[in-house]
Amino acid sequence: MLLPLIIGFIFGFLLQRTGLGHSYKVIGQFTFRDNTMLKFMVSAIAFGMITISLFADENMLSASSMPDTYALGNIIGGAILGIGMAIAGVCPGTLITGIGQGNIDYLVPGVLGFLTGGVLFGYSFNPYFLKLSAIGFSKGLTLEQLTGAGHWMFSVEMLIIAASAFLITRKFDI
Amino acid sequence: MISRVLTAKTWTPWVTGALTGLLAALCCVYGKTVLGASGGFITAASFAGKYLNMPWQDLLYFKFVKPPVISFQLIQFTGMILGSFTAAYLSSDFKLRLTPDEGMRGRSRSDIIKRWLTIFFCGILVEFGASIAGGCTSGLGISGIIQQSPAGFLFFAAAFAAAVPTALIMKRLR
Repeated sequence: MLLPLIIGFIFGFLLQRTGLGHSYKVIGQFTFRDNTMLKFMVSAIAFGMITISLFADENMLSASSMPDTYALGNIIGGAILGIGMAIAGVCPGTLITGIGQGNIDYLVPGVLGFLTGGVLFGYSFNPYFLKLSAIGFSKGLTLEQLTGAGHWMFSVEMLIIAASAFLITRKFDI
Repeated sequence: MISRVLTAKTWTPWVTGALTGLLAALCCVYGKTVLGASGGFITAASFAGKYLNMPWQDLLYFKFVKPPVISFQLIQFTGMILGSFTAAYLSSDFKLRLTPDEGMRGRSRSDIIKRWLTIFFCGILVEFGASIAGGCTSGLGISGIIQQSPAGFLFFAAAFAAAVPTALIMKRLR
């Protein structure tokens, strides 16, 4: 009970302080007018990956937190989400963040839209989703299992990418 | 110094991103679930079905896959709203907003209606897409990628590939 509350508090705090509760910050990323979101993502991925690699060495990862790979569904779903996010400037995490900072458009029509999307998914789960998610399904697949390369290789690569992005964006002030 | 940091309107995304990555990793290991948000809306839709006596409550999906029970993510939502409110309040960014602060031409009634319809319909797309993909920007984009799940990378690439042309087209239309 306390753990999700604390995790949520920190997550909401950080997203708000990044400015992502404002839809123009999210939309600005996709026209590359404002690269806040990409910097945030790259940094999160690099530091998170290193931390996960440390935990993986200690065998502390649980199967329940590992997403399943079903390529076609992951891609189609991602594209549909991308279109909505680029137009309205919200994703599920930033919608909750926006509500916390007082955005009424997020709280009323935003939440109603998200709930409607959830209900629509419920209706399409049995007739369509089960078939779609069966295509190329691999439970809890990791890059390590897919390629045979060690997980540290990807973590260090990601850290190098993030460090390079940090230096480049600072140098050119983008 | 500390008070200046606490009241700053935004923090650099490199720092908030790194902390979020760390948080996502801790959530995977100690919470045994991804740091996401899209699943919480599905549970909320399940509750709405049950307590408002809506027809979707009888779907197998809302009865067995996502039953109306208080989930990790719903408690996390409460924490997120409190965290976002605290961050916004301390930096004087808390304000009741009917429309975003930037990115809109005006504040007339028709502008408000346009924004509210946009976020409603895009909300449907975002939540429906996230549910198909198996997670959202944080749940699959960050938490999936840091665990080196191919699903996370496919999702992230697809979302970006769809969002950039969408945002550019919308910019041209405005």
